[in-house]
Amino acid sequence: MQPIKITILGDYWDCQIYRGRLYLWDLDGDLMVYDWHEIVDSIIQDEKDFLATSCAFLKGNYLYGYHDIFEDKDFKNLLFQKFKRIEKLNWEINIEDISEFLIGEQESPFKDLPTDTEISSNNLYAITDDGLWATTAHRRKSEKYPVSSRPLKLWDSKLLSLTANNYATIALSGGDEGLFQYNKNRVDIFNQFEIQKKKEVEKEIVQVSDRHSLFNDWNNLSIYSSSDIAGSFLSLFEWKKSQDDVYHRKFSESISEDRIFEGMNLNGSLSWGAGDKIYKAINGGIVVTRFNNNAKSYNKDEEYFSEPELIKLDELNGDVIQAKVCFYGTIIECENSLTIVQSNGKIFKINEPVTRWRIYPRSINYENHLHVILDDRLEIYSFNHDYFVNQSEKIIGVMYKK
Amino acid sequence: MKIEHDEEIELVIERVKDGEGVKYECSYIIVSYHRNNSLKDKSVWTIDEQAELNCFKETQEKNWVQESIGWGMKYEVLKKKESEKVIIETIGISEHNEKLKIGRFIDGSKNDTWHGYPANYRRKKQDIPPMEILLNWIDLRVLKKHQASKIKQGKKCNL
Repeated sequence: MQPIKITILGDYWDCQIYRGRLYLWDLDGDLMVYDWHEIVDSIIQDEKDFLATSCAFLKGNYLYGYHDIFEDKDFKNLLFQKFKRIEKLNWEINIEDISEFLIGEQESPFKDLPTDTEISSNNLYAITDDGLWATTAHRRKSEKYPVSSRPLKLWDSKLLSLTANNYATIALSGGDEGLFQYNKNRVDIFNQFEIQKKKEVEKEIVQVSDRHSLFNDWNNLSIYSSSDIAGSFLSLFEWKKSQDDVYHRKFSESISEDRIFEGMNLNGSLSWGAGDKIYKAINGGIVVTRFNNNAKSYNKDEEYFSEPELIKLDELNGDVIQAKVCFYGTIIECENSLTIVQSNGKIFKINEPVTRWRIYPRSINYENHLHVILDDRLEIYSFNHDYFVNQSEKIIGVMYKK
Repeated sequence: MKIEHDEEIELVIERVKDGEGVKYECSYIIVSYHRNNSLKDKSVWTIDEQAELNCFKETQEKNWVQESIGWGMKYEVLKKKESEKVIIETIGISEHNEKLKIGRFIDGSKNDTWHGYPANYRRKKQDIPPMEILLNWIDLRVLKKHQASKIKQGKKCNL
């Protein structure tokens, strides 16, 4: 099964998708917000394609709930055929063609084009040359602008990337200044670092580590910080019972990639993680370990990491410069290509240098998306193989749990 | 002509500002520790002194300057029929032996006295050029969009 693709022609810098709206930044610094549902509805020509197209682009997690039904080969084949039909369509859209679905257009609310963005809990966060910003996104359609034009500056520091988790906590990679965490609600933030209060660098922002951090992602409660400069590491956070008999998320320790992949004598390359998986690129492939964040919580005494397994891969050309994990697989960026190692073991490759790519593993409807900004277009891919993969056995991609 | 190290070189640079030519008087110092590796934690130029000075001059002429910090590159535009290709040259080397292609120029005392060094944008955040400069380089086709994006995110990028 091949991914399904919608191409929007144009010269873009960044994109986001959130609660039915597609956000596009162009190089002039303008932000355009489109009604994504209406765009998808407009491309469906035949009602036979409605189910597959809407599952592919609007309801990414809908089919995870029907695993039992896919035990029936007739149902499974029927759905396969429906996806096969739309695989071939490869929709290509000019930006003028979707102007009627434009909710609003405005100057980017931040002075400069963003280095990175994230939308979480109706807030748009952005890193710019001036620091870290937040502003309200997903405003009512009656508002003048879909995104508030009065952002709040959270921090002066120049950062490289940010990733929000499901609890509006944001991990921030600050290059040579290290890894940080921003918690809007200030929930328990000092408790987590009770021994290290001095690590608060700004209101609601704490330094998790002073080791170089290029990008990061969330391994459940913990943060995986990736760096090809100083080595990657896991900042381990665990549920720990406090004196008040309540479990709190608390910082335990930093675990270097050498310890995670102990005994494998793996040099050099980048490692990355999310959810229950951690990967490391090696010559001729990648190695994977399963991570158990609750190994020592709730009076358990299990191992944090499983025995690493090798996945052979000849498709990577050059050094890995960024990588992420989501349900449908792991996405690996080399300088001139993007390789998607799918959870069913198949490989999909984009042989072009990429300006930016995004996945949305914590969204409710777009966790099967991959957005890729290329020189003259945005390609929106939908991967739909993972519904048919055994979630507890798979070694590629994050395990889906209801 | 031999250019002395650690001595001010007086310059008058023609800048275009708001569509008009403006003369900018400043001085530039070829700093010896970015040449002879006497301080082990500094990057060093691998291009000669005249090329370093030319790189600085272009930075000023084209206004690739923001808040007393200038950014430059040494590049060549190869034209072939209707297409053109930009070759960006290595200008220096880091203390970790990495090839460096972006120059960072500083007027530290804000008295129009500048010096510069090959910037290592992957290891030092301060060495990442501002967005405005990168966008200007895209406009001038010195950089491609994907290269600017990678530089901004601190990713490895073969310029």
